[in-house]
Amino acid sequence: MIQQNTAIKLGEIRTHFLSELEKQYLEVEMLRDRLDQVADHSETCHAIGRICHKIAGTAATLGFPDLGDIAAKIDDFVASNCVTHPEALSEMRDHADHLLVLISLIFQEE
Amino acid sequence: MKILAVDDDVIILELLTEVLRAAGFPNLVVCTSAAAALEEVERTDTPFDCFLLDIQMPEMDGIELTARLRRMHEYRNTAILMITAMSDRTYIDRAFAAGASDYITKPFDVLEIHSRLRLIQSLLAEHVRLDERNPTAQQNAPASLVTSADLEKRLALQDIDGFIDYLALENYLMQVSRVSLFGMIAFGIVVPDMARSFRASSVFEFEAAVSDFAEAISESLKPTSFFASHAGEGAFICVLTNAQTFNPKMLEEQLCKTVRDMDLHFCDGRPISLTPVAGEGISLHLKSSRAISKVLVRALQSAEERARDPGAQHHTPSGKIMRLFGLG
Repeated sequence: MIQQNTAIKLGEIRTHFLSELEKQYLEVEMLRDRLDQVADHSETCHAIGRICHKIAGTAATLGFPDLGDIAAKIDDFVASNCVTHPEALSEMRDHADHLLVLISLIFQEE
Repeated sequence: MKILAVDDDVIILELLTEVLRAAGFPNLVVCTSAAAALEEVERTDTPFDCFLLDIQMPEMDGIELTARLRRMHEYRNTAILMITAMSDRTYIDRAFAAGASDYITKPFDVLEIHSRLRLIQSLLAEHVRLDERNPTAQQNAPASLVTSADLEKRLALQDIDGFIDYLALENYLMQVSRVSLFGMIAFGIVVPDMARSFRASSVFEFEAAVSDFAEAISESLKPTSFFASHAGEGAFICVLTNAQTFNPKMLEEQLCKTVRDMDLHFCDGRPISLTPVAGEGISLHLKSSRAISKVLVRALQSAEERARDPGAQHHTPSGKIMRLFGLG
């Protein structure tokens, strides 16, 4: 059984995670828009990948397994170098949209 | 147990601090970069007992940090756990080659971290008990004669290419089995009569000979990618990490040539005329830690049988092998 002070501490970490997630949402939203505007999308994809790498590391442990899954999927997608292929752009857009929707839902529920 | 955790994500560090405190490991120092960790290691008066390292960090990553820690004498055998989201085989291989003891994939399971740390704590306690009971066995006067405990001890041999600690090899196989064991072949190598030949030798002589044979194995296996570990006495376990076939005869020939070229001698000038024998290769298709231990036992058993009788088939593991693997 989790002790009361541990539960309080974990609650504080969860709150910190959510406040970081708010910033990460805005960053991903901005990067997602850039995917429609910039010709060379490789750096943009890697920037999204770095954010997802961080989210994937903690989301599931803090009670957001679905968010962790999609973040890990995007992280793997970017790490596998798929993003250098032109056809990967539409898939990356879909992934980013999915992530943004999921984060929005989390904020609605919290 | 004094632990140093390094991750560029402060939320991970907050989480680890709380999870470890709740599990009874409150002595935790955290750093957000490898450079800060190295400064902390330099600054501290009491050495750390365990490291928890992230792999992907800006500038110096966790794998480079592992390699640097291993080059420091006081951290040659300290537990280094990689806690990382990188589950790719390449990262796992690089981390263990650099000297990682174990590998935990993020998002981490709180219970898994607890159990790994408890295991490390119990190993540390065991070392302390051994030190107290038999101080000479641990800080061997190099000139003292070898004891049975010295002969059976698994040497880490981390300075030899491809060689890692025996427990790290088991952990490596466990970790890789979650991704893919395709193309992995395990086999044993034994140097027959090693224990008998070195019974009247010094600890230094015995350990130097083990190290020489390990060097010969490493040279003979190159350029194939592999991990290998000393399994006590004159026994070694090797795992080819990207191979479809393995021919023990060919390896043996190469190994014998390398050993001959090394022209090994005892300290009194007598030549060491021992010839290593390789066992049959076993393709790895395993999942559980028990299955991994069994395959390693079988691999070594095969080498021992070939050493006794080149035409020998499968037999029950000998008492010596069971003892070396802690199964007897």
